[in-house]
Amino acid sequence: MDHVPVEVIGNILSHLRAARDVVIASTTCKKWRTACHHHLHMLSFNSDDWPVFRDLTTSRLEILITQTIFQTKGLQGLSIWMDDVDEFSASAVIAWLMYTRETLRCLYYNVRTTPNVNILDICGRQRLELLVLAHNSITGVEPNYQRFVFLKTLSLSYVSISSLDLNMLLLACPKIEFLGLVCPEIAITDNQVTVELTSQTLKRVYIEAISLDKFTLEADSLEKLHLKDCALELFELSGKGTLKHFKMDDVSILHLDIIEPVDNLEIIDVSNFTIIWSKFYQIITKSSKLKRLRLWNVVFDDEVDFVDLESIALCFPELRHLALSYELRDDLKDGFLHYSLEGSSSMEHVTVLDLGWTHVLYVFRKDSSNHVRKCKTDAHLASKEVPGLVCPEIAITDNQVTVELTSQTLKRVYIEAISLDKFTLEADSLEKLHLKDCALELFELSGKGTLKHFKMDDVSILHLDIIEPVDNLEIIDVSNFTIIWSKFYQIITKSSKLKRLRLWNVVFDDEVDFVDLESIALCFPELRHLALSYELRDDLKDGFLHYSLEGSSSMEHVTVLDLGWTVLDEHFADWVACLLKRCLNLKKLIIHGVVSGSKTHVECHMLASFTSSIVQLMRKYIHVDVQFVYE
Amino acid sequence: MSTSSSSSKKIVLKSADNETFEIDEIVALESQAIKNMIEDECADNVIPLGNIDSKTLSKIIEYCKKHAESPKKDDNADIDEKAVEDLKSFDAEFAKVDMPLIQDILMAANFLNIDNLIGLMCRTIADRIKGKTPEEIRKILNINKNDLLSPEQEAKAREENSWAFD
Repeated sequence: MDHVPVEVIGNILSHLRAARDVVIASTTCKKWRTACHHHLHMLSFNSDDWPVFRDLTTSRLEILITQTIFQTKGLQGLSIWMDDVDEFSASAVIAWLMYTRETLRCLYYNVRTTPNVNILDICGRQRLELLVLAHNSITGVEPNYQRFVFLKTLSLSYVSISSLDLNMLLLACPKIEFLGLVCPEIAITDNQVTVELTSQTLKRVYIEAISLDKFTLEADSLEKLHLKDCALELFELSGKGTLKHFKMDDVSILHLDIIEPVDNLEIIDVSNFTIIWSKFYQIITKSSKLKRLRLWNVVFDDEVDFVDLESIALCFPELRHLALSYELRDDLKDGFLHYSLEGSSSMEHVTVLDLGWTHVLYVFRKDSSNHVRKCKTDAHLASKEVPGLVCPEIAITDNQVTVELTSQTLKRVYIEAISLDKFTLEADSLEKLHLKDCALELFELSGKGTLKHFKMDDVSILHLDIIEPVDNLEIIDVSNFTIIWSKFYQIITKSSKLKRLRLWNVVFDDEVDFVDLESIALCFPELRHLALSYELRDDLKDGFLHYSLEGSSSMEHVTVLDLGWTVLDEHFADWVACLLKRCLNLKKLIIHGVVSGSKTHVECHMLASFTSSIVQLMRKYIHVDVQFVYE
Repeated sequence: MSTSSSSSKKIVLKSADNETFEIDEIVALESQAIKNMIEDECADNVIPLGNIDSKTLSKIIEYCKKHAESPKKDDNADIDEKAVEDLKSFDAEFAKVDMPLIQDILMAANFLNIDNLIGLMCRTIADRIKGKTPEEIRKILNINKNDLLSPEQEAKAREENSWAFD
């Protein structure tokens, strides 16, 4: 830093912005101290910069702000944005502004003052280029006196101002390009709340949280207009056809009047808007240069109103980006759309399509019917398969609840909702065993190696003892089971005929326990269907898995992969990719996801990025059929 | 080192360690200083930059190339957004270098008067010292011991701004 000029150090300090950081950095050495005194051009006191600010009293804040500002010279930017302060004293605020106003180009200020300080009066006729003001009131604007010759950006939030003063203020800014109005308090005149604005230079206008009977905007250079969260009875926009970008979000306008040619419109972005499309369409129909059209969560006012894709294709030949959300007509349950898909004109230049849904009626229905069918088959099993034992009441003997069954002929056994200290099953012809919802201390299974299908769902077994050769096992289906995999694996390791393996929502008992894909690939050469859910180790936040992906033996016969998550993280897609790589002859991939009811932003983001990754991944595996099941 | 085969006008920059860099004029114009030299017609074919070494100069050229190539504010808002994003991520990657090189780039950018690059380097340094104590900042910036404030000066500075040190 020896050779860096002191002006440049002033520049570095200015990038710090936050007063405390500036002050601390300025004590590092002589040069930095000089830079702070003479070459600092930006200084900010923001309640978010430093938590202690919120604990200080108002007068303490006033003193420290005064002290710090008075150590500088030639400040060009000053930001005082204290959220928790009710009001500053007028004398302090006047002192700060008077000390800096001759060089000040940017001012951000959001604290009320008592008595009210006329900031426009103090900063008028100076160099101000940007003024962001909140929670103050502006009265008696006199454009001849309070001129802001350099002002380009004006943003007022929660400012109380009359419509007349607002327009006067615009007139006092001959170079103004941006106006932002957020939740202003507009005085009522003649029983109406009306705003009329006129400016020759305004290029961008942003209006938020405003409710007016009438809003007239006459802006001959306007390029971008963004309305958000507004309720307007009448909105009249007039200009010279310079508008390029028109955005409305969560706005209701009863009468929209655009008295301006819209030939130059390039972007229309409407969301959460009640629209009479046919009327709106008439307005924009001449915008032949339109490049981007977005209609999102739009409520159609009229039942027979709909967006005709054919006319969009014909009227907007240069359209590049089309975003539509899937809107169902409320009155029609069969999912009749507010979009007409008739016609076949292509949209040649559209390179980006955004499509969204709010109600996924169809998918939802399909999913729930599946569920019903599944329940039925279970009931079917329980009633017909003999013997089925569903929730039996077993008498207690010797303080233990024990069941010992022996049969030479039993082929299929289904046990549900049973809690036993000991369960012994000796069945020499057993082919299928299904345990559901059981808690067993000890389970002993013995036979002659006829077992083909072993299924456990929501079962806990402390000691599992299979005294039977498992050479013929073809299906293992374990879900919601606490497992010591290494032990379980030892039991099934000889099942070389295994065709289907499912480990779903399995809780691994041991921290260092994990499923080694390499051994699965090697031990079960005939595996055709593999279903695994993605389990994170609870103790490890970095998403370390209970699956080892090492090795590269392929699973040649696997044609169906079921993969699912309960908790999605950023590595899931990689995990899927690793598994896909091993399954050379895969035909079908089914992704099962759990989507929680209340979604945080992070979860949504995770889901979105997973979706993008999977789409990208599947481009490599075009022949694989992909299916998604979300619950 | 040739950077492009187009027929546009070339400028040759020569670093302190006598390495030459041939670049398109449009890239060189990112530097206000070089622009002035060219406009005043006091630039020879080769512009010697005696205070910038080749490592720093090649970084600066990398930056100027990217910024010169990136579409300027155009009337197409769609492309604007993408270009801005692209440039942002380039800048973020570009600034991931060690502090001595950042300072070298800053000095050179200051000399060549490349406004955006000066801003980027100042912002990078500011980000790295934000929230640090004076001791930590001295270490990060490798401040010369001779430049430190005298104990009296430091005491005075701390007293004047006692609120920040509590």
